Amino acid sequence: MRTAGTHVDLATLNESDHCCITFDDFDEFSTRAISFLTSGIELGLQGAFVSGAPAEVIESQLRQQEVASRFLDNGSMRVWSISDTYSDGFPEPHTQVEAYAAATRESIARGFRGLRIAADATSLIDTPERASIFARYEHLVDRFMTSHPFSAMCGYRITEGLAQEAVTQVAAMHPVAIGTKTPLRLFVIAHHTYGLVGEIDFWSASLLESTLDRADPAGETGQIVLDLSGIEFMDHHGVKALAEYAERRGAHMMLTKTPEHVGKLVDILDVTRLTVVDS
Amino acid sequence: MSSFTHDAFVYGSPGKFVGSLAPFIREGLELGEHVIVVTKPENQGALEDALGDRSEFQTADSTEWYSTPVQTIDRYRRVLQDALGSGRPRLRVVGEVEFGTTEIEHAEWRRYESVLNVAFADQPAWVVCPYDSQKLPGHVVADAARTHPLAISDNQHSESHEFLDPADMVGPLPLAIEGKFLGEFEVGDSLSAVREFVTRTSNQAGLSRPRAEDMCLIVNEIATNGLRHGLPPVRVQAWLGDRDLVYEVSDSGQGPDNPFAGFIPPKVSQGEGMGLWLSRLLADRLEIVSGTGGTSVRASTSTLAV
Repeated sequence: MRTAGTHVDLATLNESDHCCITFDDFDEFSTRAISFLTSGIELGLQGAFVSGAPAEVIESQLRQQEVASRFLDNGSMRVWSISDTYSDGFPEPHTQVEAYAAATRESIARGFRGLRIAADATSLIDTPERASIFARYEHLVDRFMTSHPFSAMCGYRITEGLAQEAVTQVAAMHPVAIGTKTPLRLFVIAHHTYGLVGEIDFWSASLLESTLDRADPAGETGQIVLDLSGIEFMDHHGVKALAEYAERRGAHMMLTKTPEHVGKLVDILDVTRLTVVDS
Repeated sequence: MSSFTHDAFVYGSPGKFVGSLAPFIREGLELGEHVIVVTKPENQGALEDALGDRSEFQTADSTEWYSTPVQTIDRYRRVLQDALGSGRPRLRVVGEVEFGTTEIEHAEWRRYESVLNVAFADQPAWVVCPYDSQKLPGHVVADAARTHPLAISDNQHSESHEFLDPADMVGPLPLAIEGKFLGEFEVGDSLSAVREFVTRTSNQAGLSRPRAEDMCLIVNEIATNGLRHGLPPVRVQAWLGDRDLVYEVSDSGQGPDNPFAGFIPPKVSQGEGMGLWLSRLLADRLEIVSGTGGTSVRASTSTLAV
């Protein structure tokens, strides 16, 4: 069972969990990253610290912490530089998931149970276009995690240059999001089963729309099961966004654990591509 | 004949009721139309005796069917949609309105009768509304001529000369605010905070959780309209009376241009008008008052357990 929520202790996350955090400076990020990686290493996973700086800079910063030094020395933690990994500067979503799949296999070949990464991905969402593409990656990797021993903490540094909207777009793809201001999140629970949580009204309906398009849960089959147990509120704009996405994709959505007021809206709006299967 | 026909039929005895309406129903069935009869149980029984097999047409108890005007419009809309969807050429309705007992109820259902002409304009439906002259107050029966373009008596159609333009009949009815003032809230950018206000005041009023959620939806939708189409400030206030909880959402704008806004089912694809329609559908009562000082929308719910 994957963890979902906004108030979660990083150290309790499991081998397939996916978490988003925001932070103000490197020290804050590295403290949380080391805590997250430490708990993973204790689970028998290999850890990887990923950041935009060159690898040797990251390593020298990490070595200021004793625990990190020990992990680096004994091989239970690796360091990757985004700029080293992506020479052309930006990863294609599927390619990046494939890279982490290969890295996970490598960790397993070395005797670990799987791979856990803590990544400062700020540099990958510095323009709206890149944020949009990276949000697609965040969803694809979320899918990958449900069936592989791969877990991740994705950090985004709140700077003046970074649009709140960009952070919101990527945060919306995580089952766990700490300190982000995203009003909603869409994530994978299991094959073809998705969780949608949060509050959806006129202001956040456009985020739901773009999140659905980026994640594209309809996939090949056109059958989607959407678990709404984490919906605190949804108005008719939210129901409309779900119905219109299903329409665009020729898909059908089964809504489960549907709050009573959402069931009423589905009925009132008379939308044919949504079915409330249990409430 | 495929356009909307809306007749009043004033009757004084069960014999007259059956004498006129049994042939009307039989004719509809012969033409392959979908027929629904919504009336009081005693009239339902008398019709059954006259027509025999009731399985050929749909029946409903008027005391349940006529719950609120907009819920009733929605019910007929769905019956019509299903009938046309299954290949019926037309919907034929015997619909005996439950006018209630209070002056406000009488006025609400008079408005409903008038709005029906607009809600189903150009739809292939024929609605006959029986009015029981022995039981209904005289002014309710007299109003029938103002809300129905045609009247039937002794199986003869005649045009009503007293018929009034529905646009002049659709105006707001009084919805008093009285009792305890529960507070007010100025709506900023966050609708989430508005919903917290509604949840808190609904709990204070002792509403059930589903009903509190309905009120939350209603106030959220109307405040959204205020923010999008109205003028600031958008303010929400709540009052708890002896039997009702009333929310008022006000702004400085002119309110909806269309006097029928929220009475007529919008198409989902249109995108606009859905918030007001579903608010009218979910509220016990909802009234919109617009003037030079701005617009206020009041929505009420009973606080008595149902």
